[in-house]
Amino acid sequence: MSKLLKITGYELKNLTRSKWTILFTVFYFVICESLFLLEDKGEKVILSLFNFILLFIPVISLFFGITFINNEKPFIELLLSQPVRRRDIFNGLYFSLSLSLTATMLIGVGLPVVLHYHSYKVAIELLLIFFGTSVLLNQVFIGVAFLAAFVFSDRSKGLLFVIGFWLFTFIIYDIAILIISYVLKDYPVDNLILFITIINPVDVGRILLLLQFDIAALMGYTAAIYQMSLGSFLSSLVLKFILLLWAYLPYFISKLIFRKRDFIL
Amino acid sequence: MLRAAFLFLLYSSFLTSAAVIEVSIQGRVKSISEAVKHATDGDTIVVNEGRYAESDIIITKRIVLTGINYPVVDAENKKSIFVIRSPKVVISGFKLRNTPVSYTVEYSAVRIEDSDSCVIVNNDFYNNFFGVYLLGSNHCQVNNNKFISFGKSEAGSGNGVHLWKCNNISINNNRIEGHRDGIYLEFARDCYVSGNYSTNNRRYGMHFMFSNNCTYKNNTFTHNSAGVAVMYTRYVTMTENKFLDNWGTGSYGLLLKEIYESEIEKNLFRNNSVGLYSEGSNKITIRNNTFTRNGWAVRIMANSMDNVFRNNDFLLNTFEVSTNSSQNFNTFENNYWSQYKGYDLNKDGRGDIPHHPVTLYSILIEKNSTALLLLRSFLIEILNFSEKIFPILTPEKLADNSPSMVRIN
Repeated sequence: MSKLLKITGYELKNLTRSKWTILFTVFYFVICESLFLLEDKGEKVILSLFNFILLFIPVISLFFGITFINNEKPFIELLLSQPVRRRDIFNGLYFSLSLSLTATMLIGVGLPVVLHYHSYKVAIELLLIFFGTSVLLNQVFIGVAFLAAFVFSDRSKGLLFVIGFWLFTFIIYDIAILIISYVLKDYPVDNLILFITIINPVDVGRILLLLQFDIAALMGYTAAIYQMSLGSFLSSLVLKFILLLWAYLPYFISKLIFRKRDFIL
Repeated sequence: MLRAAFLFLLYSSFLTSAAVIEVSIQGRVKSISEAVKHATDGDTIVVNEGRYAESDIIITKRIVLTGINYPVVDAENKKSIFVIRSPKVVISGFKLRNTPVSYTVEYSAVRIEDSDSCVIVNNDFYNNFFGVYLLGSNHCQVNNNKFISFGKSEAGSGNGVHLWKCNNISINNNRIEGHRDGIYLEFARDCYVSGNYSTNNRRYGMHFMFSNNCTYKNNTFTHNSAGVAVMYTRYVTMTENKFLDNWGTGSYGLLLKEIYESEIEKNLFRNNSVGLYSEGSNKITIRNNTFTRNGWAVRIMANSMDNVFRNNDFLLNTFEVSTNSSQNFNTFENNYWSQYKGYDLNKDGRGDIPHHPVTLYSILIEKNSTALLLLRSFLIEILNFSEKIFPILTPEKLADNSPSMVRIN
């Protein structure tokens, strides 16, 4: 345990000193602040904010995550030669990275949100959902970055996987949904398409927020969405569970790989 | 002089108006129907507190019925309570209960047949099939009543206030809950409906057809399962009404079907799945309304022409305007759009570039509603953006050329 804490603490210190972490914080802050200043549109500013977060969290978590591990690989090998359990090394890396990226996001986005609270005034629980979803998404993509880093020993392959994953979840998947729903529009496939949609973590995060802000529109159409909105509490629980699963599974699998892996570089 | 005249008037009114008949449970006259039988034109029947199990009271004389401390008249699911077949009947201060549900007869707490100038005020209608049913009657008033019913289905419930072939009726300050349609007018002319609160009705908060020249002012319609629907009518004035919280598939704040040459002014549409839906409605002026937090603020079908949207506020709606046509036959001008992305360099309070309220995505959804799941995704933002630059599918002419930069109302 103490070794885990030691590794986490060391990496965390390393990360907080890194210019990248500071840069990300400033970046989040500047973008959010300008969003608040430009768009004086009440509560839906939170939605624009979330759109922006949905764009940048995956990018930052994935790319920074994978470069971080790739840079740390020599150090990891050094640690492996010491009497430290592999689990502790992995968890130390994972926790330090997710802690620093979460803090980056919470400070960079949270500060403008708190500063401008008087101008949009949404319910506190909406903000909690907003930040909760953001933190979970962050975890999802850090997990995927770890997975990519430890599955592919080749750095460029790992990077390629990460780029592919981002493009896929972010836009290709939605294009596929749009096409499928268009092709099958004459059939009662609402539930099927709903099911396909909530497999993608980015879409899950988006729908979680939609359930809070655009419910009037969602209620306007198809039966499946109507039902989903009706059981709003239940459906948001299901969605949160899917996100949790997405956050846990890559972490779990990459830990498994890390523990079995023969490191020869 | 004035005082003498007043005394004379008072005196003469005593001369002409006959007795006051008192009804009470312990008194000489024990039932309302008995009192009505003995009464002559101009009499007043005062009903004291208590419960009267009576129904089918047919009134054929010009009498005034007043309840003291809200006596309860219970139809016990037998028939209608008051059936009025005489002009100038006044009914006030009663609690009218339990007229039966029927699929053949329209039982109602108060039924007014071919009788002019009747007044129904300050009554409490509870668990009735129909509340007040006016048939071929003119110049009547239905004011300050409360209608609460518990209709389970559309077919098994009646309307709160129902008008059929009536002119010059005024319906003010009523509260109507749990009926089929809160207020229903068919072939009613020159009516005035104001200050009513219609909520949780099985079908429409208000429903009218073929009712020209009517005015609706300051009413509130909320949580009705299909909102408010108005059809086949000319010269309607709707001002300062509130259409709130009508959610669901096929639920509208206000549905217009074949409404012509009417005014819709200073209304508030908030939190509806569709704020204003227009089908085959022409030459309507829609101005100074506020549309806020609706799924669709306005859905206007291609068969609606020559309507003018001016000085409205569109705030925080998911979709501002949607249509099923690539043409535009309506005018949008000087509205405030919260989705407007333009600028005002010459500082005249009007945006310098036109606002296109119809997005590509809203067109996609008209054709394929499942795509609603992609609302606010990055893909949709890209599609909307590229369509804005090169409009192909959206009606290019449907634009507000002088959008306001600040809220108007």
